[in-house]
Amino acid sequence: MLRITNGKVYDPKNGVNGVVRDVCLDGGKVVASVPAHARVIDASGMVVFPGGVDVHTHVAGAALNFARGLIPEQHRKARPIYHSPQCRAGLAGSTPTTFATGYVYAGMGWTTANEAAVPILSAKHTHEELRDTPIIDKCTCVLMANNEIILDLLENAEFERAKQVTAWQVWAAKAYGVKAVNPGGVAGWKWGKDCKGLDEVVPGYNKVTPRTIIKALADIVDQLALPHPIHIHCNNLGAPGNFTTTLETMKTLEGNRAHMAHLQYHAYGGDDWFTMSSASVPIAEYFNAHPNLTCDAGAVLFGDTVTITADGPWQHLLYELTGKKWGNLDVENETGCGVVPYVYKEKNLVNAIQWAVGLELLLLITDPWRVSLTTDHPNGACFWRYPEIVRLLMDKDFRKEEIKKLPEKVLPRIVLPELDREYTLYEIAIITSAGPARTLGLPQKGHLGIGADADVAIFNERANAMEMFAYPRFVIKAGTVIIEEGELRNSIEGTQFASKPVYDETIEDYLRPLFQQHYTMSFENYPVAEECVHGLEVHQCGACITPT
Amino acid sequence: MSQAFNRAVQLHRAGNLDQDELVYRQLLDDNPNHADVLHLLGVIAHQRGNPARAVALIRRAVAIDDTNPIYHCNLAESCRVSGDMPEAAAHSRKAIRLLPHHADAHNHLGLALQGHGNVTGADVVMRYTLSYPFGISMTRGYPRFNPGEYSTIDLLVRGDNDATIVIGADPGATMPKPAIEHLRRTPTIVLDPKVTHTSRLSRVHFTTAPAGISAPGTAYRMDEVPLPLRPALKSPYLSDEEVLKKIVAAVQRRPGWYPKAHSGTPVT
Ligand SMILES: [Zn+2]
Repeated sequence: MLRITNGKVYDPKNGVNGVVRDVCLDGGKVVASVPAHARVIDASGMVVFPGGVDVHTHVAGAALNFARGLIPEQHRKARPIYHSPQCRAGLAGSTPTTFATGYVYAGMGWTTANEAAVPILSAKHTHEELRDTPIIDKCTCVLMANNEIILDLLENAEFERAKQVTAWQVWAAKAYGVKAVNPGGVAGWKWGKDCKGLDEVVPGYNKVTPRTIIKALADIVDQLALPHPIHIHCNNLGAPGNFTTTLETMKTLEGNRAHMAHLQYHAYGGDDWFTMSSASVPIAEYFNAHPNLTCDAGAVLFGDTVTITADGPWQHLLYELTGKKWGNLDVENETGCGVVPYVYKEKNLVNAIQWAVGLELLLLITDPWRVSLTTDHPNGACFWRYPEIVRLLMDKDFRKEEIKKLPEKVLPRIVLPELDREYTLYEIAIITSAGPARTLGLPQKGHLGIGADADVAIFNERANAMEMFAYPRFVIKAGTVIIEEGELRNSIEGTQFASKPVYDETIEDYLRPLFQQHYTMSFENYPVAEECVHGLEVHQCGACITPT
Repeated sequence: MSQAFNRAVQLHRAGNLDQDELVYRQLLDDNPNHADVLHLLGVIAHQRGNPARAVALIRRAVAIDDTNPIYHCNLAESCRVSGDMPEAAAHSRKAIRLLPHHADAHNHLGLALQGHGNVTGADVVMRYTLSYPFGISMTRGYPRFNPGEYSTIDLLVRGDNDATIVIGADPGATMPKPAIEHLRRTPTIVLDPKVTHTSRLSRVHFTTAPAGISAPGTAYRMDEVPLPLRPALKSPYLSDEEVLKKIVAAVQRRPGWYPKAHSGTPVT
């Protein structure tokens, strides 16, 4: 039992904007009151936030672990996590180890994270890593938009069966949501090709196009009543002029709920690398006018990192651009993956534009509830650098100082210098917690109302938002004090959320022979068993909606 | 001659071992240095369950023609079946060098390299918990990686470690002599379902339940795809994991070795 008193509470979901009031916690939940003998945390001079929620991050699984193997030189420079009575040893670099991931997220006041790219074939691996990722609660999105069983069905216009297969696959992977990465393009990559436009036929097929896949999966996710909308990484990521593809994608999604992942990477104008410019204005305009959409920023910060995505063809291009290391994985009939270590440089024209676009979108999108703070960790920057972005959003003078460091020729290609908006603490609480919780469909997260999960972050109120948000004074997860006076005092296990959509079990009779024919794994070994997922909490989806 | 040879190859494809062995022998009488014939006789010996004879025959073929990837590939397989893993790996590699996309050769190399336990699984788990696959030192309280310094053989040869726990491996069968000597000299604990070279020189051998047969868990394929292990039989023995947990619990009951600033016992 715990009473947090004298703190300025920011709880946007309940309309609480910096009001000094008590927050009481008991049994892992926020409650109306606790007895007088309950422990009291005096939060005088501090602000009280609901625990942070990351809507899009890459913290576990085969692709990330492949990247870990590729970059020992980065690990050598990483911050060590020392073995101690509370902590398992690890490294907190660009691809933090599992235990470090939990400690570092919690260490900044973030208590929930969505691992955004899980192939079904290796979902068991992802869950094993998440089991070793302490403190935070976790959910996952499963990769579907290049799954050849689904693509074959869409090619033959068998939508209903594709829906049943998707539902089965979501539960087989013990996933929470459905992710579409470069729809059709990763399947095309297996032929050495890509799908840049929405109406290009997917290589290896005669009819199916990215547009067919996007629309079908969005319909399927909506009809299955999954709590999180289709999570889309658009075609043509990273390429100059790609904003038209992104607009087309958003138009295709009219009438559906959809989450546009790392929108920064999809908002570029120009024709090539020399004429590239920001297209955040048209993207934000369209986005602002369409409340069916949510997004996350996928912001970029300058420095070392490693890029990891299922978008195999893009990673090959990035490898050709950088001449650095490159790793490519094929995931049988489901997806692919590429890994390229990368450095974002302030003096590089393209990187400077990317840095600006991420911030521009966060500033131009008017409804903070629909844009979440992310860096597409580790792609744009590591998640432990979020506080730097918070400062850039809250402090326009600081932002203008940073803009001065960019090459001068960048300035006419971006709109950031003209934007004077400054985020308030209330809005920061939305984009880091309340908004992403709503986007993920987790009603118990992202707020401090009665019945909410007792996940709370308490910060010293300071002028420098980066310092303020980098080192919380207290972090409480499920009612347990994890961080106290800036130190990790406890480590607990988190929950894993999975969705169980309704499906017709006879779909297995359809899938089984396909497996014998096309997979290297037997059908029985494919689904992740419930007992293999630690702390599993199942969201039973409502009845499947079939529109008439 | 080439006509007779072609006929033999056709017969061979049809699976008539007796008949084509006869034809090959006649061919060999005509030309004792016919590499193809020696190779095919080796393949027949292998198919008949005599890999040692297959190795001898295909070796002769390779001695005559070292550039045929198929000879190397089949020799690798015969070496593997007769238990000579280093030779099997060497010939698979030669086959791959000669014909990089030869799937069988890659497969044979994979089979020849498979270790005692689930080596790939160990790599995967070490990477996600500690960043590196092997060669890790924890002596400073966090992972550091330096193959050649912190890898097992180097530690053992230098005699750096005071004691050794061996799980899913049989270093006593393959490591250099000074490393084995160090294992023998210092306390070595082996967890293994069977008696191994290492268990014979160890101070303690825990017989454990074999993973996949009577202990559950996950195995990672060499392409790092995870597979669930569902035990078919019950074992009277504990699994590796259970034995390790008991050892850790026993160690935790000893006074901690943390500096004064930390209290309590290590979390594992
Ligand atoms: Zn991502």
